[in-house]
Amino acid sequence: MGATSLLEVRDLRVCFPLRRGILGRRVGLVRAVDGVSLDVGRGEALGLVGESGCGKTTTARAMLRLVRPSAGSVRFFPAEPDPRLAGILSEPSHPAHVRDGEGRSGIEVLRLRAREMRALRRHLQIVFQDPYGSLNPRMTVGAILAEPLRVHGLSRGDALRKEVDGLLGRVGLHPEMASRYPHEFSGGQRQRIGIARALSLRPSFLVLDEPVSALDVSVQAQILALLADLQAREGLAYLFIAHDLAVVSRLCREVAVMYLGRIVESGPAARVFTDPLHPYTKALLSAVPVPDPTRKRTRILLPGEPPSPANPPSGCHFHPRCPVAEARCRVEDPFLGRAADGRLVACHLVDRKPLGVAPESGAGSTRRGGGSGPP
Amino acid sequence: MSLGRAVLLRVQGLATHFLTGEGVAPAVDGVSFDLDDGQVLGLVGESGCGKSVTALSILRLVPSPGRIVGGKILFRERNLLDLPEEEMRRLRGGSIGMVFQEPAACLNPVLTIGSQVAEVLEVHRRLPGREARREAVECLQRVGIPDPEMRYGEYAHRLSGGMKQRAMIAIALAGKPSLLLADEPTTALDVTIQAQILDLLRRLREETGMAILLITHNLGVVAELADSVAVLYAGKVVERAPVATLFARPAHPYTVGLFRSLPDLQDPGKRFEPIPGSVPPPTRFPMGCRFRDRCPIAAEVCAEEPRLREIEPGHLVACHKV
Ligand SMILES: Nc1ncnc2c1ncn2[C@@H]1O[C@H](COP(=O)(O)OP(=O)(O)OP(=O)(O)O)[C@@H](O)[C@H]1O
Ligand SMILES: Nc1ncnc2c1ncn2[C@@H]1O[C@H](COP(=O)(O)OP(=O)(O)OP(=O)(O)O)[C@@H](O)[C@H]1O
Ligand code: SF4
Ligand code: SF4
Ligand SMILES: [Mg+2]
Ligand SMILES: [Mg+2]
Repeated sequence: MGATSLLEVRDLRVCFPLRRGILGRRVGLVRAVDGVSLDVGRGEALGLVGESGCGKTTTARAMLRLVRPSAGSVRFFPAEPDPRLAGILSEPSHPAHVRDGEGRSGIEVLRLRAREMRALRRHLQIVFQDPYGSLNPRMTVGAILAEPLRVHGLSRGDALRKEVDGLLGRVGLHPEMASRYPHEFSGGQRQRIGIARALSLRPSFLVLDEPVSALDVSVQAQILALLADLQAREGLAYLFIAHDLAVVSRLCREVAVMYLGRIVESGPAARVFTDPLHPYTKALLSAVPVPDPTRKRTRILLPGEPPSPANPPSGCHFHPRCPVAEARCRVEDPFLGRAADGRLVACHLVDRKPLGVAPESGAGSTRRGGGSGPP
Repeated sequence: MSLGRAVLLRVQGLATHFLTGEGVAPAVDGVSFDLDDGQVLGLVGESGCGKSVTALSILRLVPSPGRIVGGKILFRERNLLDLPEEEMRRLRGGSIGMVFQEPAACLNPVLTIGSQVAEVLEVHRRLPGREARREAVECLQRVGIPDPEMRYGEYAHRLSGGMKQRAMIAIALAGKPSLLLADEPTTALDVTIQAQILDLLRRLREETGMAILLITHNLGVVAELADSVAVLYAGKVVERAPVATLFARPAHPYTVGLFRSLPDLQDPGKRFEPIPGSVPPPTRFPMGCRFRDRCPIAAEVCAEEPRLREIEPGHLVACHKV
């Protein structure tokens, strides 16, 4: 294990009923997240990539309890003391009190009561994928940025105003813009407002859901530099969801690749992106558009329909579209195992050892099945 | 360039300003470009430089307090700015389709996505209800929405970011537009689905001659789909060229900076060099060249506004030092 873990997600599952018609007849069940395990270390950035609709946003929302998981566990080991959480950490009989392999006490996020959850929110923040829908249209941007600071009693008066100006400046916006309403901004400017709001509470963990997708490469580089800086100086940890693999590789040392609700490959970004093991990761990499109009590339086209999470294929979920699928792939679900170089991969064609057989140094107690994050 | 092709869209000196509390914000200020049938023009530029406002101006959907204060928008030789609103409504979603940058700004939260596609088919293509429904399912399938039959009845908030984006593309394409305004159409898509959508757009332009105004930050997408590119900075076109020329020989200091800040998957350790500073709010654009206070080679002449000049066939640049 690298850094001490800040968050440990085990076997997380989220289902949504698929309804039809005004009476809401249930016609199916979408297994949006189907047994995901992840570790995010203190001050670490974990990239989460994968096909659109594979469950990335839902995974993140479930971790922060913005949607109800049907199963699994999300453990948080605070990096710094917070008097509002001390009661849970020091009280073994509290239902949300947990301990990790090394005896550190932590919090089972999914077992917190609503009031306790509010106290925890400050530490776990999210920048939503859709900035338009997540900013109150009737508040000025200044008020939007000030609100969380005021609610959590972190700042007021002149200091608050300065703090807001500072936040705007950090994301490359002019302080004068504080008096404007969200609709008066461009898409990329709104996205940066979302980032500023999430940073305002100085969280220790931040989910960034496509945070730079609306930004040109230059502003993108500025924001990534800001995030890298916060990570280095304040030990901020990220779950970074993005479709732009080059951007992911810039910020994240570790990366997990998802397909249809599950993790199919995870490990150091430098390895996964240069020498992918899973056929889906290979297809993904081959499809990255290259900024060179003269270059013709060989793309691995994925044949067939994108899969349905309401009716996932048998065996390996990827088999109907996998260019190297074999007969057993149709019936046998490949387990997520450890490949020779330590990466986790779920594919029959890759040599790998099952997880959780031999006890690993310092690893969590429930590393089995489903999927698991970076070592 | 145009081999006997007709100019489909000619934007001439378009100026769209916002009257804000802090003064006049010239968000789009004298933008000109042509788009032929079957052509793809990439519109790129820094966040806040006026790309979306340009597209919204073409549809006359500029939000208040914005107003189109100058220029012409000729669509098949008719100035859209002179058309009665009634006729404009017929064009929107019909001959001119638009993919909006933010799904929330476009998808109706209380209608299912399927019925929103079907509505376009009924209104613009006059398909009867049952047929519209069947065709709508096909439209959803074409943009790669899994289980289109089942997803027909879904509301936007129950879809993933990328599915919303695809639903919006389905709506924009349902009217069989001859001009598609696509504002960041693939930002929420993973690269494999993005490739499928790019293939679909390429096919449509070949088969139906649909022209595309492609707004995107992704220079890889520009390289794959666009025939020519216009670079916008602070409401003005600073460079315009065929795509191969622009990528081979970017000339404007802003464009050069843009290429320098590109991340590279093959070389994650690459030092990234963002352009220093940020675009000032439109109420505070500097006089003369608007890139002046961030330009590494700015000189005294730059206090005067540079005009777009042709530096090689088809390659126009607005900079004193090029
Ligand atoms: N509130 C909800 N109600 C019903 N279904 C939902 C809801 N939220 C998500 N889903 C479904 O869960 C699945 C996963 O969605 P999710 O948003 O997690 O995908 P994603 O990986 O973030 O995709 P994208 O890259 O397109 O944003 C999708 O099939 C989606 O339709
Ligand atoms: N309703 C409005 N009121 C005032 N100013 C506005 C309004 N809408 C846009 N603007 C301003 O106009 C400028 C251009 O905005 P536009 O949305 O066209 O940018 P963009 O190039 O699309 O940027 P992005 O890449 O971030 O989407 C921005 O500075 C923005 O703040
Ligand atoms: S298990 Fe089989 S179908 Fe699945 S990715 Fe590997 S080879 Fe392809
Ligand atoms: S005109 Fe001057 S300031 Fe503007 S881009 Fe050219 S050199 Fe730079
Ligand atoms: Mg998402
Ligand atoms: Mg925009």
